[in-house]
Amino acid sequence: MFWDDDQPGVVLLSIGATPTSDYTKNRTVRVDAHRAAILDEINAQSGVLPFILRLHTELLLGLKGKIFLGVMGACFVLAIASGIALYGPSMRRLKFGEVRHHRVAIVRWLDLHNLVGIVIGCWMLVVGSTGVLNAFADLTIKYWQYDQLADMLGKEAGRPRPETLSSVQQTADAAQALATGMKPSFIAFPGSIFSSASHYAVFMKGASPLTSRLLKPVVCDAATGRVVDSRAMPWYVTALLVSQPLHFGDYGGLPLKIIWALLTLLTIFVLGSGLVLWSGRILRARRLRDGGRR
Amino acid sequence: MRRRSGIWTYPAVMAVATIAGLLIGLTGDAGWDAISWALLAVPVAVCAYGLWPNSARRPSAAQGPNP
Repeated sequence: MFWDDDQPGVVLLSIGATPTSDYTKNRTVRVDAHRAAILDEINAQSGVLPFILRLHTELLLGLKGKIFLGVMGACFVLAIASGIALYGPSMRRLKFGEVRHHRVAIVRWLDLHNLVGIVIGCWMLVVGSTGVLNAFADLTIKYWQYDQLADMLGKEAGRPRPETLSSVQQTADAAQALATGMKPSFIAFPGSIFSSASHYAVFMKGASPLTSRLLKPVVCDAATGRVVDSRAMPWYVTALLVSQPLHFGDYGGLPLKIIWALLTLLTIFVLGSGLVLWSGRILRARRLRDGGRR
Repeated sequence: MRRRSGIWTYPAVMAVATIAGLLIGLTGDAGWDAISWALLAVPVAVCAYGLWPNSARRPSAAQGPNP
């Protein structure tokens, strides 16, 4: 059960056939929070945007694709860093932003590549490095489950599911009483991947723009609703949660998204002009080699 | 040849504007968002100016020929 700040008055439910069924096959429905009436079903798996998202995050290859893209992202970050290191020597005789229009095309490409690359270099580094963190999100969450969640659930994790579950409201109230000033972001029901058969896990979030991105897990007994354990997320999960908005640019309204799109186009220009310079160097080397043979 | 610090002045300004824009947008709301947009629009505007045909700086005569 989760809440989306962009959809006030709506509760989203991710439903599986059984508590232990594959969560990736869950169906998601929107429920009116006041009338408890089902509004509609969200098909988050099909459509153009989910396809593009899966292409972007995993190349449609699942975990292997995510790891591959993570490694490629690390190469991207290294390429940007090396480009910044090369900027200084190549600009010793030029002013900032100078483009030598009177020189051959390859020099103009170099100047434009240097200009755009250095101006948006910092943004590219941020988006590239946060992309690497996001690529390893599944592994990070798995590690957290093994490292922290298992410890929070403790010895009671092996208990069977109780006959009667505590109400969700009672559980959420208990979590909210512990984490004052926070509200539930999502509740993992007993038997789901973020809880055990005998526990609810309530993931609380803050109210400020930044803390609304961060989560604090509160584990509650499924039979009584009382709080069993709660602790702050470790640094690696916090880094992952903060990296998501910094990678996707979905936190500052539509103008920020437009700026993000323009910066992405400029990044494509930097990559494209880099290819032009690289191919120009290859062609020149080949020409020199062929000339030497004659 | 220019001093090394001169080469990095404008790139440093761009980096500061970018980092400030990203963090202000992430931690603030409403009016702070507008400041974030303005700061992040700076590198976009500089690139747009540089990429606009024949708008980028030309080498000055006093500077002499470039390599």
